[in-house]
Formats: sequence, structure tokens, C-alpha cells
Amino acid sequence: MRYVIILFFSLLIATTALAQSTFNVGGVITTDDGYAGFATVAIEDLQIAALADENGRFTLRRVPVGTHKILFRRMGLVDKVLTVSVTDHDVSLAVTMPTATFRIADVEVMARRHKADKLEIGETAIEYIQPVSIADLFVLLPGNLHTDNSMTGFNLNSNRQVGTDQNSSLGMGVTADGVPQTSDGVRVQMVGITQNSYSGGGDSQVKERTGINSGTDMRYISTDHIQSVEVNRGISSSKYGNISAGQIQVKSKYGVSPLRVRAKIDLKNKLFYAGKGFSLGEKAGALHIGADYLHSCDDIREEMEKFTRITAQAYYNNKITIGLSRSIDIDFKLAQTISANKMKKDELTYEYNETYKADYNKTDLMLKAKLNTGAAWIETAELVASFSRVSDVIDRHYCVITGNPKSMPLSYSEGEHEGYYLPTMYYSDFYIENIPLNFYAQLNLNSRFEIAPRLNLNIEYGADFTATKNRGEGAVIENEKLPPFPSDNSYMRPRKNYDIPAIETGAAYVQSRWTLKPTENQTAKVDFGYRFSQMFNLESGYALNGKLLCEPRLNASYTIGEMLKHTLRFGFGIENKLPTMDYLYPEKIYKDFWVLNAYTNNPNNRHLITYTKIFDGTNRDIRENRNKKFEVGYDIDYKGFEISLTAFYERSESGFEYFKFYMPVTYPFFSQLKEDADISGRRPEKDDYIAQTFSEFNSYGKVMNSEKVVKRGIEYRVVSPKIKAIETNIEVNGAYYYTVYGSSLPDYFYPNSRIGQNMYPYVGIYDLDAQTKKTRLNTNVWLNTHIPRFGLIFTNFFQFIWTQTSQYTDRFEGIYKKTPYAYIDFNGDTHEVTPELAEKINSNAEIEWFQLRRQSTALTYAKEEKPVYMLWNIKATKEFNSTKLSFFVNNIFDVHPQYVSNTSARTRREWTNPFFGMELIFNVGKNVTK
Amino acid sequence: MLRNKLLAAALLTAVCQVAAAQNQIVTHVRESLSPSAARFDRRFQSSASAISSLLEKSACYYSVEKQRFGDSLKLSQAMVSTFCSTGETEGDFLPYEGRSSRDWGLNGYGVSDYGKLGVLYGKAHYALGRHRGISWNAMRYPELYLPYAITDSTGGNSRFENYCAEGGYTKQFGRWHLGANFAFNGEQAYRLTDPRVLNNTTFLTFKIGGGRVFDGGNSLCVSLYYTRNKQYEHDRYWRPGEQQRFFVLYGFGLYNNKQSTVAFGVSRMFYINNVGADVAYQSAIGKRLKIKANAVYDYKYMYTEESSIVNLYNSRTQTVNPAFEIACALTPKVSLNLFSFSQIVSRRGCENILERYLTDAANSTYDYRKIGEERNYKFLTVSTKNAVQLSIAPTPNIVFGIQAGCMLDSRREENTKYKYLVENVNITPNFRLDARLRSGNLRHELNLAVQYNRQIAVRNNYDVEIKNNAIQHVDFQTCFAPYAYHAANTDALAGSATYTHHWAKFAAGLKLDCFNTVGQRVSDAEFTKPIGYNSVCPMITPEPDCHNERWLAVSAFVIF
Repeated sequence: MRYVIILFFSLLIATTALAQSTFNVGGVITTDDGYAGFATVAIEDLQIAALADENGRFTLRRVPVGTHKILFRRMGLVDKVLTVSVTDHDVSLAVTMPTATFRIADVEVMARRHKADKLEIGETAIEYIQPVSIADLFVLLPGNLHTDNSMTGFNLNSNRQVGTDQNSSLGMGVTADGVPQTSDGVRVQMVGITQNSYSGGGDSQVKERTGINSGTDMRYISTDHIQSVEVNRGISSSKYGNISAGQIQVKSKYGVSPLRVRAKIDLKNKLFYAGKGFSLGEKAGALHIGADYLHSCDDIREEMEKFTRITAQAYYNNKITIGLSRSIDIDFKLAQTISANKMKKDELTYEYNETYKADYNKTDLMLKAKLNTGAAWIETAELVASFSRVSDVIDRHYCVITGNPKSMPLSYSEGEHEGYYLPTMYYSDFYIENIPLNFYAQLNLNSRFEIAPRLNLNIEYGADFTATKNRGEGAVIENEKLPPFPSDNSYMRPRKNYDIPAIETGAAYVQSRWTLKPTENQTAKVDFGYRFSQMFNLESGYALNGKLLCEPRLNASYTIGEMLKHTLRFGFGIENKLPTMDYLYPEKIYKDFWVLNAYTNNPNNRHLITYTKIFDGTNRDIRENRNKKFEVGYDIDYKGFEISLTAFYERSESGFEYFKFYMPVTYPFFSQLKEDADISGRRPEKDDYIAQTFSEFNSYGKVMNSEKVVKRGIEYRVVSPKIKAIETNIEVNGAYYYTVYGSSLPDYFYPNSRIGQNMYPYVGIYDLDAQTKKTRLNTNVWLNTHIPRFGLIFTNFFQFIWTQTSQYTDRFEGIYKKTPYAYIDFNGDTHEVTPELAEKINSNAEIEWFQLRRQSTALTYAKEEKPVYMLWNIKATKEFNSTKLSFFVNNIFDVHPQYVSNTSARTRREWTNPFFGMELIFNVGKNVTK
Repeated sequence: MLRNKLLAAALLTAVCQVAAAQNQIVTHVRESLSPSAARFDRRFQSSASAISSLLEKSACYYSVEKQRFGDSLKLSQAMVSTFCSTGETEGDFLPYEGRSSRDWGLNGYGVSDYGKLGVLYGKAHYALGRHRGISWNAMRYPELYLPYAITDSTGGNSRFENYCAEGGYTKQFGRWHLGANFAFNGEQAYRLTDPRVLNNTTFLTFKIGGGRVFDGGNSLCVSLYYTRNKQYEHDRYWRPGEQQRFFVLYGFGLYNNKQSTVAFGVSRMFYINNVGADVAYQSAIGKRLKIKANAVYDYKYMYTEESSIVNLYNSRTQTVNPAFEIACALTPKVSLNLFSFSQIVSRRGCENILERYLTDAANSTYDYRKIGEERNYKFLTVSTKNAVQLSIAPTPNIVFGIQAGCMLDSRREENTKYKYLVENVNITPNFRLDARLRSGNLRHELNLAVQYNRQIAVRNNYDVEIKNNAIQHVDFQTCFAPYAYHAANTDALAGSATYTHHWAKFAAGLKLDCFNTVGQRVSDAEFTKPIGYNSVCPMITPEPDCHNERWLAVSAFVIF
């Protein structure tokens, strides 16, 4: 690696001597009524970009000689692409960008492919999708399925897979205006809620609503403040880290815009938004402010499921010119998100007198300053700094009804203690407070060289630092003697979240883009980068302490052709997701075992002695979740007709998981009364009983790098230009996905039965290599009929799922009798299962052994195959001057044939219900800065 | 001289027709969201409006009208309105409809004439409401599916949210007019008390049509349509551990004892495939005698699917709706109009016989298969409404109308296997006065109408004797109650008033509709047997009770 870096920089230094002459391309951008201030201007191939000033003036510096496509973009205006030839002098342009209305034919309402495999969803596409959260936009991406939004509970994010898994969701990175959005500082350690506790049931209200260790909660990202979204499902730039499963970049609205009022109603959501961009005067920049209110409920009958979100954002931007060739672009953002979920009272909540209250409050501050020097060595220097504070408090008044006497671990140490019986019915009050403070700073430098005629090099390099400190109290039970989830006598004594050390991560990266244009019709691009990161502030015992993690990333493409363009793409990369605070610092579990349990109707005569055992789920060997990605692609462009194919392969074998381990426990046991003991009318003591010992196994969760996810598939996308006869654009996209979910650790099984008076003495360890294999082939067809003279867009969306299968497999498929390769006894010793012992396990002769045999039937391994599914969604939008009225119906028609389930041998059919609503948008004012 | 008078009369009626066409937009200010509103529209709506509304449903109506009236007709119009209504009953009521209703809505309607490019029209509405006191029914729009209902025995209040959008395009191609229309109506209804019901009901309609205007302005339009209705019903107890019996009904109080299990909840899908055709004819304009006629044939195939994916039953419903108006200009100021509206609905039910069979012995898994069917249920309703109206226009801005008519309503429900028969026949003579007043500068416009109906029960027959006493009957709740509701003598007074103020570029107004019915169930319509299943559902009394209903709707609109 050292040699690669030396070679890289040597080449860089050598080539600067060969720098060729370049010229500036500048001009003024106007729109219908005035100047289009703060438009972005870019030559994407060469990664040359500039921001226009408030008067629409722009300069692209040091543009190499040749023919280039310049893209002009600004909120509220239709994108414009100009082909400009740079020969031997500076170029001056006068560009007009029309206002984006449905009366203009060029309005784009679909995602578009942009830079290698990235897909970008622009402002008009976002408006047309009518989202309530960012998750609604992903239906535009190949392979994604239409789903009705669900704001009540946390939904796992997925990327290029059939189904979902927590690690992919956690590894999905979201950056807003260059700042990563993280939930890694959220920590909830409480029996009944966290995954490392096995208390039956637990609190579904809390579990369903919070996404602990599951990544960004998309529900809190309002799309009303967003100008565009860029999704990269393949290999990300090395500028971005702490991700493992794709990346979403969100760009906020900024600049001057008309007052926009949006009201949306549908069966689940009622949304209202108002926002406007103001010019603050000559050279004073622009301020865009907006606020939205969302009320949502998945099942309108459920009073407890109501979700309310209020977001507000102010975004200031300006361009300050210094001298003739330098300028500074300044961006400042203040965003606030508030969510209040309070359980409403209905007949049932009155009956149980329970309450659920969740308050979420997030404040984001972002400052970005970008110095444009115009020099080759450091063309731009950008500093991004952000601070966010989240206050997430869940408050419960919870009714506990225990079917039988439960004990409550009172002791802080292992061993025998006097116990305590819980009442059979009581109220437990608890709250879970998370106040993560996130700080992020990144310095990005950019150097650009023309190494030889037609060979350009653009290097981005920099460093970033992230710190996350949780200032919340964590899980707090107001009366520790009344735990909310006492079902298996387990208890945690959570440390305060503010006592947990901050997570600090530092990283440095270098990302180079080599662009070679041997002829006007050929372009080769190589994006190669390296990212180095390290976690700080970890105790020395942690394996990640002082560990430098390296992530190479490579994307390469070669394009040939003029009218008919062919592009070949290739990518390889490693992406690492670091463990969260919850995974790094789990709590110990205190569990009580009954030594003496004398429960009588008379409370004075009760006596409980418990043996407390402490299980520590901390895993100091925990490492990053490393995901290896490969992809190849082929694209064709011909006069607006596009075909794109991408094949990918991803493999992650170190996903985080609370893995279930078993540990033997042996403790004194007093159950059988001595023959001469008389305990009537008094409190029994240990002396009244025969002293015995009792052994059993207890399970506990420990976070491991054990989850395995393998994803492979092919994505395709075909886009037609507008077919004039029917005024319709057609896009067909879809994917074949094959996803394997499994575990890289062996499986533990405890029969949990008794032999005589004693618990079964062994835990079997099985080399199952259990996997769930899922496949899906889908096609989404979009027919966008746009009739500019009527100001009307009518979309028909058809989704076909041609095949969808799911199958469980393990090493014992076809054998059905699963035999362990080892077992653990009550001493905690692990023994190998010999062939002789395996024979005993497989026969019914000895009760001590055959219980380790796990039996399954052919149905367990049957492949569940669903028939072809089809659904049809429609949407119509009519523009009346400055007002747009939309109506949509999802699942307006569906085909879900009956089928016989192979895993249940029953006839089944999936029911879907139409989902519908309408939206009204008013735009008042103009788009211009002057 | 006479010829001149007749020509003048024809001209006047043509002008009135244009005005009526332009005034027709006001009929879109309010939607029928409750049974009371539907009753008002069916029994008390102006006959002229009713036939115009029928003609307007042709897919190529606007294009045809454009050719018939030429430049004198201003097609491009839009209207935004808001409306609210409230209604309640006292005494007898239809249990599946509920005792009272309240609703509010926002409406938009518009027609855009793009000249040679054709005509684009559409409407949208959003409405909220509440129907109280529903019992023995957990469905919405129950009359589409009855008697095949699935219900709890608790009942309650149903809230709903209704969305509707309709759009159409029509254009003249040579001598032919072609048009296509798409309409969607979706509703989510729910109950917030146990057992909590959720209904998701949608109607999706495609209509295509063609028409021609013959010499002199005679027009003939033919439309074909397909409607897909789907209703998802989910009825479940929220209270942990609570279970009750959910009834799978077959009509006449019969229910499927095996499927009507005690459960935490139940769910079902209802589907209707509906095809139909309508033909509309209008005679030439400028003639002394004018005819408007419309006929609709409609066929519905309804089937259901339980959560176990079995289809318990289906029904086939055929409907024929002929309607016509003959208008004769007697003098330039007096015209005589004859109206006739009829509806014949015939429904046949088919009940499937299912077998539960073992599919996997190792896992004791069972499935269902159909082994037979029975066709026992028959339902027939015949309704006619005939009226004669004399219109007098003393000045061009004042029109009075006086109308007399009679309605006949007959319903007959039959189970051929058990020989059950329920029959009601009512006649309703009615009398109506209309007035249309406009100020000299045409800024103020007032439309007033009042109608009196007297319903007389002429024949009632309730012959239902359930022999099987091993199960508790629900015939009182599901069969006798609808019978008793129709077996009543009533007096009803309805009124309608619309005020419109016209400005240069737009108009705004208020509309008020109301009716009050007072009546009494006939003395022999009494349930003398024990009531089979005691429940807390709101229910009528076994003995004859009063039959009162009040309803009021207020709408505000802007036309531009």
C-alpha cells in the first residue's frame, strides 16, 4: 500500500509540470422574470462546478480545451444542458432557464441516472411523488417495490435485497448537505426492550416505534425541505464513511423561491407545508425558510399509533467574491424537528389507565464555507461543521399483571440474597431518555490538473472527525422495586447514558478522478479512493482501540460513441460500519434464581431467598461490520433512449447481532421440607428444608459480529424518450435479487425440559449453517403522460413481481434429524459429540441424549413460491396557473392469484387495499432574485 | 301567427334549456354521503335536474352539447363548493343504515373547453362524516351486498373519510363524438369502539362512449362502462382477550353456524364486477315538442372472500333504469312537461357448499374446497316515479312550475328453499311547486322548490318462520326490521332553496335542501315471536312505532 501511495503522489507531482492551458467559461443565467441567482453550473465529467451569484453570474475556471456539456440547475427552474466548445479563449454565455411548470415539456418527474450508478431524484420528481418522508422516494429506484408509507413504527431501510435486515438498515448512510445523519449515539438498555434481554413479550409499543441499532429513522426527514436526493447503492466515494449498505445524499432547498403552500391528505397522513426563499438584499445572500406539520396514523382505529411531526428549517446561503478570481460560498442551516406521540385516551386506555408518551426533538446546525481559489493545487477548500442535539424521551405508565409470584433482583452482587415478591398487579413508571449530541467536522480540499491534453485529474482529499456523546439518563425506572417487565426475573441496572464514553472517530480520505478523452467520442473515468478511519476514546480492552481501518473504493467507466453511447462500468469497494454505542456498551443482566420460594397467602409467612447471577453481554472483541462490494454495469444512450444494466455482489459476514448464548448456573436449592419440619403459622427458614443444589442453563444475549448477509442480483432500467403520439415517457425498471441471510456462528439449542426433578443437563451446539434464501424478480413500469397544453400529467405505474421465493436451508436438509457436533454440560465444559454419542442421540434409547436431536419436517425446507403479482397505481396532476391539484390511487387494481403455500399446505392469497389521497400546491410569487 | 308563437315558444325553451345547462353545475355542489341525502335526491329532486343529471353521464355529453348549442353555450366553467348536512331518525330505521348522520365535504367541479382540442372535465371531492347507531352490519354501502353480510352483534357509530376524483375527455371526430371517462371513489370508514371496524371501499369506473348529432340537433349517445368495487372489512376486538360471535349472514336471519365463530375478529373482501350501458337521446332544439330519454342497463356480479380464502356466496344483480321527459311548449310562456323514471332491480343469490379436507397429515393441515352450490335467494324491487309539470314564465326572469305525480315502490325478498317471503308495496302521490326568480340586471337569482309526498303502504307480507330452534335466530334484526321500515304510512315535506349572486367573472351562492318525514308503521307489522339474539345493538321495537326522519343540508359555492 505504501508503494501505491508514493507512486500516486510522484505521478501527481510529475504531471503538474505538464499542465496545459485552460480557459474560463462564464456568463449570466436568467429566467422568465429576472436573474436566476444561486444556480449551480457544472461540467460533471470533469467535476468542475461553480455556484452563480445572486445576479446569476457564474465562472467555471480553468476549463480544458474541448467540447463540454454544461449543466445548469436551480430550484424552481427547468434544468438546462448546453454543449460548449472551448478553443483558445474564454467563453461567455447567456443562459435562460424557464420556470418549471407542467406547461413545459421538459419537466422531469422521474429519477435520473447521474454519475456512474447514482440516481438523482430532483425537485419536480419529489413534488410529483408527493412524499411524506424520504422513504417514499425510493420506489423510483430499480428493484424497489411500492409500499404504502408507514409512519407509526420504525421501518428498516433496505438496499438491493429481498426483505430487510437490521445491519443493512444500520449501514445505510444518510448525509444532509454533506453532514452524516447518525443515530449511533442512541442507547437503550432495559429488560423487555433491548435485544440482549430475553424477557417474553416486552413492550411492543416502544419496540415498534424505536429503531435502536437500525440506522436513520427516515420518518423524521421531511421531504418538504429537500431540493434533491441522490442515491448511491453501489460503491460510495471514500469521502463518506461509517456506512456499509448504500448512501443517500440529501440537498436542502436554498436560494430564492416563491411562497409555496402544500396540503396533502390521504388515508394515513395529513400534511401541511409552507416555505419561501427570500433575497436579503444586494450581496446579502438568500434565506429559505419552511415548516411542515404531519399527522399520521397507520390504522385509524388505533389511538396509540398516532404520529405527529413538525419540522422547520432555515437555510442561508451567499456567495462572496474576493478579487477577480476568488470567492467564498457560505451555507448555514438551522433545522428543527419535533415529534410528539402521546397516547390518546380511548375506552381501553381508560380501562387500563396506561400512558405512552414519546417526545422527539432534534436541532441541527450546519455551517459550510467553501473557498474557490481557482488555483490548480488547491482549487477549492471546504470546511463543513455541524452540531446536532437530539432529545428523545419515551415516558410510560405501564400496567403489569403477573400470573404468578415473581421476584425482583435487588442485589448488586452475585450469590444468595433475601428476595422480594412483586405484587400480582401494579403500575410501573419508567422513561427512556436519549440526548445524543453529535459533532461533525470535515475539511475537503480539491486539486485539479490537466495532466496531458485530454487527460484530467481531479483529487479530493481531506479529513473528518465525528464525536457522539449521549447526555441522556438512559432507561430509568422510577421505582426499581416495580419493574415493568419482570417475566423471567431479569433486571438491568443501566448506567446513565451520560456515563458512557463518547464515540469518537477520525478519518482521512483521498479520492481521485482520472478522466481521459482519447477522442471526442470516448471517455474513460477512474475514480479511485482510500479511506482510513479509527475509533478513539475506547477502552484499551476493545479490539477496535487503536485499530486503523482501511477502505479502498474504485469505480471505473469507459464510454464510447457519439449519438449511440455505450458505457461499461466496474466497481469494487469495502465499506465499514462501526458499532453503535448500544452495541459497545450493553448492560449486565441480573437474574434471580429461587433458592427458597415459600409463598403463602399470609404475607408475614412468606420467605424468598434468591441466588443472583450476573451475565455480562459486553464483547470487547467486537469489530466493524465489513461489507465487500463488487459491481459491473453496461449502459446505452441513444437520443434520450437509455438502457442500463448493473450486476452486483455484496458479502458481509460480520454483521452485528445479539447472539444467544447459554451459560450453566448452579445454586443452592431448598424445596423439600425436612420430615420433622413444621412451618405452619410462621415464616419458613432454610433449616426447615433439605439442602440441595440445582443446576440449569440460562440464556443471554451478547453482541457478536455474526450476522451474514450476501446480496447479489441484476438491476435494469430502460427509459424511453417522449413518444409524441401519446405524449408519454416510459420507464421500465426492476431487478432480480438473490439474498441470503444467515449466521457465521454455530447454533445453540437447549431442550429446556426436565429429567426427573432436574433440568436437562446439556446444550447442543450445531453446525447448521442455517440460511434463509430469498429471491425476487420484479418489473416496475411507469407511463408518464404529460400534456403541456392541458398542464396535465397522468402517471400509470404498474408493478409486476414475476417470482418471489423464500426457502430455509441448513446442513440437515433432507435428513431432518439435526445432531449436534458438540455439547456443553453444567460445568460449562464443551465436549465433542463422538460417532457413538451421535448414534445415541439419533436413537430414542436414552432420554439423556435423544433430546439433543432436533426434528424437522419436509415443510421446514419447502420453498415458498408466490405466483405473479401485479398492482396498478395512478396519479393525475392538473396545473391551474399557480395551483396544482393531484389525486392518486395506489393499488387501484391488483392481481394476487390464489396459491397453495408449500410451507403450510393451505390455499392463500394476499389481500391489498387501495390507498388514495389528494394534494394541493399553491405557488405565490416569483423565482427570481431581482 | 300561430307559427310565429310556436317558434317563439321553441326559442324560449331553447334559451331555457341553455340556461338549465348552465345552471346544471349547481347540482354538483353537494354529494350524497348519507342514506337521508340519497333519499332526498331520489324522492325530492327536481325531475328536470334528475333527467339532466342522467344525460350528463354520457361519456361524450359535453362534446355533443357543444355541437347542439354552438357558441351560445359557455361550457368552460368551474365550481368550488363546501357543504354540510345532518339527519336523524326517530322510531323505525334501517339498522344497517344507522339512526343518524352528519357529514361535511369540499367539492370541486370544472369543465374546460379547448376548442378543437376537445373538452376536458372533472370533479374531485373530499368529505368527512359520521353515521350513528348502525347495527347488524359492519359493511359500508350494504345495499350492494345484502343479504350476504358479515357482522358483529354490537354495532356502533361509523366515521368515514371519502375521496372522489373524476375526469373525462370528449372530442368531436368528424360527425362522431367520442369520449372517455374515469372515476374513482374511495372511502375509509372506521369505528372507534369495540369491536373496531375498518372498511376500505373503492369504486373504479371506466366509461367510453360515442354519439352523433343528427339533422336539427337530435342527438344520440351510447356509453359503456365497467365499475370495479372492492370492499375490505376488518372487524376486531381491541380489548385484549375479548372474543364474541361474528355472524356470516345469508338473509332472512339465517347465518352460517360453522363460519359464525366466536373469535377475536373477522375479515372479508367483497368484490363487485359491474358492467353497464346507457343510451341517451335528446330531440332537436328549437322545436315545440322536445324529448329527452335515457335508459341504463346495469349488471353486477358480487362475490366475497373470507380470510380463509373461501368464497361462501355470490350474487348477480340486474338493473334497468328507463327515464324520459316530454316537454311541450303550449304557448311562449307556458310549457307542459311529462316525466317518468323507473328502476327495476333483480338480485339472485348463490350459496356455495364447502368441504374442509386434510392436506398434510404430518402437520394436520386442512384446506377448503367447493363441492356444490344452492340458489335460494331472490330479491326484486320496482320503483317508478311519474309526474306532470306545468311551467309558466310570465317574464323571462320569472318561471313558476307546478307538478303532480305519483311514485310506486315495491320490494319482494324470497328464499325458495325455505319458502320465506317478505313483501312491501307503497304508493306515494306527491305535489311540487318550483319558482325561479332573477333580478332585472341578472345579478340575483333565486330558485325555490317545495314538495309534499304522502306514502301509503298498500301491501305488506312477512312470511318468515325459522324452523330450526337449535340456534338463536337473528331474523328480527336482519329481516323484520327492513320490512317494518318499509311498512309505513308517512307524510313528507321537502324544500330546496338556492340563491346565486352573479358578478362579471364569477358567481357565488348558497343552497339549502331539507326534508321532514312523519309517519307510523302499519299496525299489522308487528314482530310477535321471541327476539332471537339479544344484543346491545340499536334496534327498532317489535311493536309498531313512529317513522320520523329529518334531514338538512347547506352548501356554499363559487362558480367561475
